[in-house]
This record gives sequence, C-alpha cells and structure tokens, in this order.
Amino acid sequence: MKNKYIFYSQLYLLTTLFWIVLFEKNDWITVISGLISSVAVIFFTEKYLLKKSFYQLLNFNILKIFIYFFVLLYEIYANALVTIYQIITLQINPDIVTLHTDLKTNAQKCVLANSITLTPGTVTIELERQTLKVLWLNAKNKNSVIAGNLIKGKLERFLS
Amino acid sequence: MREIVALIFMSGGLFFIGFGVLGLYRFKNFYTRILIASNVDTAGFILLLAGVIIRHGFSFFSLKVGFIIGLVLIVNPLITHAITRSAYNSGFKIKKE
Repeated sequence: MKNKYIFYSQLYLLTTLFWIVLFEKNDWITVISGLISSVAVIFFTEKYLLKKSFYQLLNFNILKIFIYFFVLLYEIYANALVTIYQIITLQINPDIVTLHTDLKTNAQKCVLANSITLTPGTVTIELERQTLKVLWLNAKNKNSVIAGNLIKGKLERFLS
Repeated sequence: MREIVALIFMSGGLFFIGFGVLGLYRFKNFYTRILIASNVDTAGFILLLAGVIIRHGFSFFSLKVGFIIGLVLIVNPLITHAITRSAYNSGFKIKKE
C-alpha cells in the first residue's frame, strides 16, 4: 500500500515538472494549477482511456530509471565505436538470431526491446511472449544463450 | 571554458554522424544500412543536443532540450522497428555483402 503512494507521487511530480517547464514560470499559481491538472489528467486517463490503474501497468522508480539511463548510454557508445570499426574494415556478417528473456511484465519487455533497437548494430524484429528475434550486424554466434549474453546481458540485469 | 566543453561534445556528435553517413554509402544492402542508421540518429544526436545544453547553461530552454532527448529516445526505435519488421514480413532476404 505504501508503494502505491510513492508511485503516484512520482507520477504527479513528473507531470507537474513538465507543466512548469512548458509555461517557463516558477511562481505559486503555476505550481498549484499544474498539480491540480496533473491529478485530474491521471484520474480521467485511468477511468476512461486505460480502464486499469497505472500502478498495475508500469511500476517504475525514478532512481532505477536514472541508473538505467546511464547504463543505456554506455551501451550505445560502446556499440557505436564497434560499429565504426566495422564500417571501416567491412568485416560483417548480418543474420537473425532468436533470444530468450526472463522478464515478466509487458512494460519491462517493451523497454528491453526498444533499448536493443536503440543500440547501433542490433534491431529487434519481433517480440512474442518470451522470445525476441533480433537482426544483428556481426553475428558471431547463433546459439541463443551466448548471443543473448552478448546482446542484452547488462541491460536485462539492470532492468529486473 | 564551458564553450570549449560544449564544442568538444558537438564535434563528437558530428564525428558519429559523419561515420554513419559514410557507412550508408559503403554498405550496399537494405538490412545493413538500417543497422548503421541508428549510429546517426541516436549516438550522434544525443551528443549534439548535450552540447547545446552545456553551451546554454541551466535554464528553461535547456530543460526543454532535455525533453526533446527523452522524446527521441522513446520514438526513434519505433520507427526503425516498423520499417525493419515490414521488410521482414514481406519476405526480403538477407544477403551477404
């Protein structure tokens, strides 16, 4: 029960921050109207659009997202340098590999697939239940366990 | 001092974008080109906008640019995924270079 209050206060804080930045003012009227409208927007979205609560759909934590952002940045730039080396030498072997993931909720799987697409050199083609089909620029190994460790090892560990 | 750091970030972004464009001309097939394209529009774009933020300092403008970075990180993989998946489903074969 306590987790639920923390989650909703994070959501209200983020939407209020967005409101303040778009208005470019930081006086009391803007903050209070932002809080009121963010509570109203989240209430009506849950009631009429989603028909479920945000707490069941995406259960995030700002600190975890902050750490994950830096892990993602490290992965993007490490892979970008490898890709530049492959552009110069032209030693590539494009192929499709299938991976297996252990993540449970749909939101986590969606974030994992989008992060794999975001890193240069890999693109997710299909996500069905627990298997991912990934197009890989330099397919060193077609075994799903070894390829999975090479592609999504660090990302999956920080996501769960 | 701040301007020099910002210029270093921006030229790093241009470095990634330049090599991405070079890769588009060196590779000949569709799938390899789409794999290279994310070198341009994530790795280069993030560094370029980070340079803009550092150069402008902390203000409402730089927070708005930060929101643009977040938006690109969310929307960009969807576009790449949609193009690649439609090519794969319509039976496009992977060829070796």
